[in-house]
Amino acid sequence: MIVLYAVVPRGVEVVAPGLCGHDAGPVTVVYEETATPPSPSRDAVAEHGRRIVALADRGPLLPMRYGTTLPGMAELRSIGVDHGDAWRRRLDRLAGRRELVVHVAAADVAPPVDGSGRAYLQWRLRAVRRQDHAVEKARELVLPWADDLRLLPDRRRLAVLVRIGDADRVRDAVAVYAAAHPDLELVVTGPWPPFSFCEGAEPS
Amino acid sequence: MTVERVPSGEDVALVDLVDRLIGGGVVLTGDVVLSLAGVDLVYLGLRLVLAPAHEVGVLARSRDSG
Repeated sequence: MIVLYAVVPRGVEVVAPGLCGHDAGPVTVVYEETATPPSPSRDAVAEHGRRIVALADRGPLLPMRYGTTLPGMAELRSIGVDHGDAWRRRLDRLAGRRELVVHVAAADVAPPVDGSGRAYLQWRLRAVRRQDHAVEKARELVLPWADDLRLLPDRRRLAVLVRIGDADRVRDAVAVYAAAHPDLELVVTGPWPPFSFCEGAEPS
Repeated sequence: MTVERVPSGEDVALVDLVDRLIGGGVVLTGDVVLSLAGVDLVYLGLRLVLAPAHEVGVLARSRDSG
């Protein structure tokens, strides 16, 4: 079976143990042939991710969602024909850019002593508003460097697409802001491959 | 006053890497794409790590009903 890792511009040499490249029009699909399906364990996903991160250090890349698996080379060739041009357009838009993830956690206050349902719901409402406000402030903070920006489903993290050269500036800005706001916890991870910005890579 | 903690240090980076690999990336659909069993359990685990405590029950119920 074929486990897909990423799509890179055609011509990029894939030099990684166990990984192969299949040229599909203007792109190369990076894959691995295995006898067993990918493990759903967290360690296996992390190891898969480290290989993609290493590939991303060599140039622009579209990561495939973990677990994307094809029966064989015939299907890989077919996928390449169907998607190659769209993938290339997306790669060109993402060239020179990486993803940062900004975690935002607002201070919470102790739950009400009054154990009524009404008091609890009011307390929760205030907490949600504090969190939403903190996320909005973080969004405004990183916006000057953001080519694109997404609020992730947990509503506590922002995925921010930035130029590679701006990643440290964003980190510094967040660190300065966090130092001035001890009631917030802000953590930046990355730069990552553009995991959250791959949509639009479908065939037109 | 307390702050709802996010995972710290290398842990948070690892969580983000795994979370984004499962929840992001290029999605291929169609008959030729084989499904992978069990990844949803990894994803649920990550959501529990990332979510504030009051949302954990909601997430668990959501998965059970889905």
